[in-house]
Amino acid sequence: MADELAGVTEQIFEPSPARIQAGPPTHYPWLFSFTGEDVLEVTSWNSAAGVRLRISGRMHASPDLVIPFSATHTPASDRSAVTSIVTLPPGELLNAIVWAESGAPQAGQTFVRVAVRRGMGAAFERLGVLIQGPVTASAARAFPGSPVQSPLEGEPYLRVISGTTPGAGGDISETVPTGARWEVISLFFVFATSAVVGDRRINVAPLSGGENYAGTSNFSTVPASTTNSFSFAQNLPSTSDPINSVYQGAMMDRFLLLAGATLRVNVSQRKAGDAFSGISYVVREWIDV
Amino acid sequence: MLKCNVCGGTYEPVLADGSQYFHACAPLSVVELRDALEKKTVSLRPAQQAQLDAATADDQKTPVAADQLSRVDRVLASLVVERPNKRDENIAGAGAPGQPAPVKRETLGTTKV
Repeated sequence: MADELAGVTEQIFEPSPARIQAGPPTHYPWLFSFTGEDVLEVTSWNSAAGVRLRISGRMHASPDLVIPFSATHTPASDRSAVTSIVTLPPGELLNAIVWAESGAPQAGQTFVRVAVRRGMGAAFERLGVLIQGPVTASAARAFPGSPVQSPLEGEPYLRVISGTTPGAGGDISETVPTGARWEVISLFFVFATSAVVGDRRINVAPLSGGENYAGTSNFSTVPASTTNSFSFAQNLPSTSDPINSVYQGAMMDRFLLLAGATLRVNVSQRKAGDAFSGISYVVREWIDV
Repeated sequence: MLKCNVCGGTYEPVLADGSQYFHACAPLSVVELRDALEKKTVSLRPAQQAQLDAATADDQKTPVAADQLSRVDRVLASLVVERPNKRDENIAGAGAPGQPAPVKRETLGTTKV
């Protein structure tokens, strides 16, 4: 037995911690010394009304002197980028924090980046990123501590939208705003038909770049002189109850639309006097910048 | 509530959650497109015109039953033809500091209703 094991050695492979066990990456304050030439550049993208951000922190100015700093930043509410500058005293940045001190942005509505930059005019160099991620009134981003995130990594804002009621003869058409990305969850509308005889069929289609690239329908036709409610949603079975004028159909799973793309509802064999109303839909909305 | 002076659509520029709503005119509906083609106020792209011509010829050659969609109607429903003077209130990038962001296409504007 002993001869059989002669020359055999045992090697133990100890598990190395997976990245997720090690926690999110952090920055270390001593990496960011300020001599007076560099400033903090705060840039925001936001869709909520009445938001004001607070940026605060502490500077290690000398061995026995810690100087706090604080500034405000007011984002636009149309998802356009707004940038402001925070000047810092010379020293090492110990920590910084940013959160929404006014307004009530929901998760996914307000995205902020705090960077180090040199130069305050049009010509500048962005030299580092301290903080980047979504904030709310109670969820702050911090340096050190918070990972630098893309706006698409966070939880999107669940947005209920009352759409445009089309003019006479018009279709439903809802466009993804600049700086946003949508996942359409559900769509509801009322379609009233005129007395002109004929069966109509409702089509739901995404448009991008001026082209239809998919389509779905309830497949039941809608007769004249009726007022009908339509619901389309992910995973919703396609069925109808024409006696009670209720129709429903499925939309694509992960129905993603980029900025400028359109959610369109049109009608085959539409007649004069047919009209849409009561348009509302739910989307998961990311800030996409 | 605002009414678009191009398409006649009505909408609230600020939604119940306080977020801004940006209206953009819908492409022409089947009814509007058929009317515009008859009045020659819009023209189709060559590929779209070829689709429509082929569908028209097919409908004449083998007409569909009364309870079926005509080929022409199917083609018209699939075409995306923007209306002349289409408005698009979505922003075209950030504005100058302290100024509102410029919109993509204001054209004929809106009326309060």
